[in-house]
Amino acid sequence: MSYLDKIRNFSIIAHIDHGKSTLADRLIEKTGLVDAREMKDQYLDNMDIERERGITIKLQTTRLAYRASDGEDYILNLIDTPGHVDFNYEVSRSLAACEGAVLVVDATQGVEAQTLGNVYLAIDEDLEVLPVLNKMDLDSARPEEAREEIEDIIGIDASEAPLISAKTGMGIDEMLDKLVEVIPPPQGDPDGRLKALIFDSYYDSYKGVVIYTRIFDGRVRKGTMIRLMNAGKSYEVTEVGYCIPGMVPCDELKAGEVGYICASIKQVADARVGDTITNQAEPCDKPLKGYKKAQSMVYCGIYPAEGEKYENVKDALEKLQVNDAAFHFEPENSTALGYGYRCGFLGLLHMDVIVERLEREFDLDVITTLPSVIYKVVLKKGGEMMIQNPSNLPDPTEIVRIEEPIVLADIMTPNEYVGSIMTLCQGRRGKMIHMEYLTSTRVQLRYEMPLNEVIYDFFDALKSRTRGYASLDYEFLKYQAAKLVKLDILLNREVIDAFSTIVPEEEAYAKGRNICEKLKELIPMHQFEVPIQAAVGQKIIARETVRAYRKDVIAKCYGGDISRKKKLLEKQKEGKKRMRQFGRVEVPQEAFTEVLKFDDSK
Amino acid sequence: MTVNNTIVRPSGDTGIYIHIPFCTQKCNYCGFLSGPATAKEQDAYINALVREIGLVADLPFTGGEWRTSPRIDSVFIGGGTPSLLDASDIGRILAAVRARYDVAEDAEITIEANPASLTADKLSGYRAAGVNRLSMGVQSFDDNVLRILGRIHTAEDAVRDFALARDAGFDNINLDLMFGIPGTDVNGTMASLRQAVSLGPEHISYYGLQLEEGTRFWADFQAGRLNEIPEETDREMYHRGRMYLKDQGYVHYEISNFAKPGFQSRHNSKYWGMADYYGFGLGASSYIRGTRVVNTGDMADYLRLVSAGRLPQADVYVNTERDDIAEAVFTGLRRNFGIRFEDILGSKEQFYDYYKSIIPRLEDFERSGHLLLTDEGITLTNLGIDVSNQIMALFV
Repeated sequence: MSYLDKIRNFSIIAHIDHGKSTLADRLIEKTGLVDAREMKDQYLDNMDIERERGITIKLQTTRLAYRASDGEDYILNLIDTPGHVDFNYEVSRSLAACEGAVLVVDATQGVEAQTLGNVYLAIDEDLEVLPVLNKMDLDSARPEEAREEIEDIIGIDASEAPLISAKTGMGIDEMLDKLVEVIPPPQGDPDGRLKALIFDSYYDSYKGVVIYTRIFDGRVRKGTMIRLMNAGKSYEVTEVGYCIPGMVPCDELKAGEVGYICASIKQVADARVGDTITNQAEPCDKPLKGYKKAQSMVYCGIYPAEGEKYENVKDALEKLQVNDAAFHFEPENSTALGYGYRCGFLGLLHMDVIVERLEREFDLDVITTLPSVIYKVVLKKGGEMMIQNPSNLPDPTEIVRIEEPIVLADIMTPNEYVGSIMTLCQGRRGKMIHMEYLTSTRVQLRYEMPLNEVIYDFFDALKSRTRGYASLDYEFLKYQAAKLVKLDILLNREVIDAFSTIVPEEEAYAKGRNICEKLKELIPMHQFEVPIQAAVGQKIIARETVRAYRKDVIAKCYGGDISRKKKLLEKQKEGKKRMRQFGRVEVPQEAFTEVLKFDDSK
Repeated sequence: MTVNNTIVRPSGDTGIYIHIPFCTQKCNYCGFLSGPATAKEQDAYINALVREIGLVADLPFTGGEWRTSPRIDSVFIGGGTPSLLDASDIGRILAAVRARYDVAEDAEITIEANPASLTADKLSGYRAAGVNRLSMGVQSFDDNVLRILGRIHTAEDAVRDFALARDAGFDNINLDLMFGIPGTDVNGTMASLRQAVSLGPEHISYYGLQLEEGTRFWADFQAGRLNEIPEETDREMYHRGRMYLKDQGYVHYEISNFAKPGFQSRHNSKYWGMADYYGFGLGASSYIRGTRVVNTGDMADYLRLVSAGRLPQADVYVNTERDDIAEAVFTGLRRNFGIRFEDILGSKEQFYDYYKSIIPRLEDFERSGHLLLTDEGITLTNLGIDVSNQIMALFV
């Protein structure tokens, strides 16, 4: 009997909140490799932001030792996957490292759109899917309905789905027995040529990049010269080991196993998820399929806020990039905001996470400009250019057409919200492709939508109109020509480039009005009237005025309480520091992100 | 930045503020430490006050500047409604001060009084105790407005009590008048002001209503039951009132204060000129040799600490040079003559060097007519008064 028969490599697929991280914690606890005392809640989610938002962005992996009820010992490699629409590629690579997946379905909620997306990814990778019904400790659990939904919607047999509660630990042993029975052991030739998949990597300041890998064929040990086939770079391995979940070095990793490799690699972009590791001297014939370059979908400018140093922002961005292959940045400058960086992200959540990390981990004060997608501009003089920053849009007279990215968006919703979702999507220039009643109460809507309409606040609007019940999944589809114009915002008659956006021509009036109204609320009163105008080209299409204040005076200094008066003045001055000065106009820094925030009242 | 030759602290005599936190009924706009109290509570407080006055006088003067207690040239008894106290109580307090401090013969000794709390006997009693200036909280001569404010007196009470005060020999009287009260208009406000002037007080404090947290007005405002008057109206009330008072022979010597020549309040001027002052009583503020002290605002704490022989201080802050400079500027700018560079930092050059980062903003304000920048110093214009916080905030 081969050692391979005692290994099971699997992922957990779950919708956000359906209990993936809790289940992973229970497994780690059950299989005894982490002392219960060391258990933090949700062991695998190791970044603060992930913990707070209850989502997993960076995946982690862990090796579990399990003695099945038949007395046999197994090695279970749990490969965690990120749980958000922005990170589909990373999910697919994690799944490619596995033979099976545990599909966690919340027995109180049923199947959600995103679960579906990941299940399809798993099926694409030929994974054996084991459905389990979680949250069985809750009174509202309805396992029969959930089972039916799994069978109807996903089309896999759920009749023997284990009933568990990741929270209480109920049913976990039965689930593990079932897992060992259902999920096939890995195959591979430990004596063949090295072929291994990178399914995650992160930067460690002592070891360099730590690669998480699944070995398909061959073996790797300290001293092996490896080659990353897509990157085309070679390195000498300095350490290999298992994640238990802490890093524990071992002699070698061989076919079928999951572990980590360190090879003095400087940044994660050099060890891109999906790349294939082989032996430099005896390479395998071709890399594993499925490798994709990281593709930024959303761009925004990140600028040091008033009083923040440019160098500090640069250092922090560099540090983040070392650890995030999908994030990149380049210097740019804005008339309004000075020197800063144009940054590319997988999506808005990715952007939020990066900005939050800049503020929290690096304690930086930054301004982010309106997020933008990449437009393709076909020029009259021939050729085309990709525009990430609306300010760089050439003059309309030089343009043949502008094309914008279109995504395919899948929305799953209880049927009562179908009407309002359709209204919402129409308002966002969505084109319905397909609508299907998955069950009598659950509907899947498929739309082609401009990415631009999705990135700002679509998800918030969707959640708000469906009381949080609808879910969204989207992927890039194509570039498509559209009637688009650049909308400029003028404060006190000067264009503020950081507020420029590219919008559909027919929406320019409404958007311009909306931005002017928002800015009117955000910009404090000045000593003079501040006109806020929206313009397309030379034409002013909307206007608001921040009226001048007439009075800002403390009537009396009572009883000699100078300290109190001073505190008031200091507070006033502090408020000013958070302002950005444009000519004579002061704009609060949050205006740049607040201005297009979702507001359902309008 | 260090400044070696800071000369913001003027020489001169010291003031004393004494807080009396009692009133018949809390007014709707009042955010001060005051409230109704029984005679017994008032008595306990006065005992503590007398004790505190002694405790502070016992402090060793270690600064070297003063080997003996400084000279006191003003005493201000404020509140609350100090005129709720009998002349004997005021006499006890002033005697305690005189016993421990060197009070000048000609010291300005003010008591705040509210109409309807005064009698001829009380007033002559105050005179006899040494009080020589009366500050009356009239606020308005319109009974409807007084009701809105939650005042317990009427316009008639004010007129009568003013006459009583004159009869008792008070030849230095201030009237507090308020504008910007919800539900009022410019004409009504001017009518009140004219009536005040017709009584011929030596001093008028004409100030805008401020919404303070914790007041009845604040709660009403938050709940939408009360509307602030428009800023434009507020400013019209102020400027028309200001010009009227000037026409009537009152010198506009501080943002909210007007006086017949020679009757500027000596005590309040200390606050605007970085002079020293002691503050005794609940929540009172002191500024002595560069240290700002605020007493506890909790009556039980105050009584407990003082009876244990301890100072009732809640907050003690030793000003840095930067603090002194900033405060000298922003308090000084409240005066009609503004600040002189020489008084703050020795010379214009040093002032400009110290504040170089904000000079462009000051020049902007000068161009827009909000202030005058001269070789001597800075003065707010009448336009500048309206936005004085903006300007003062530059200096802190």
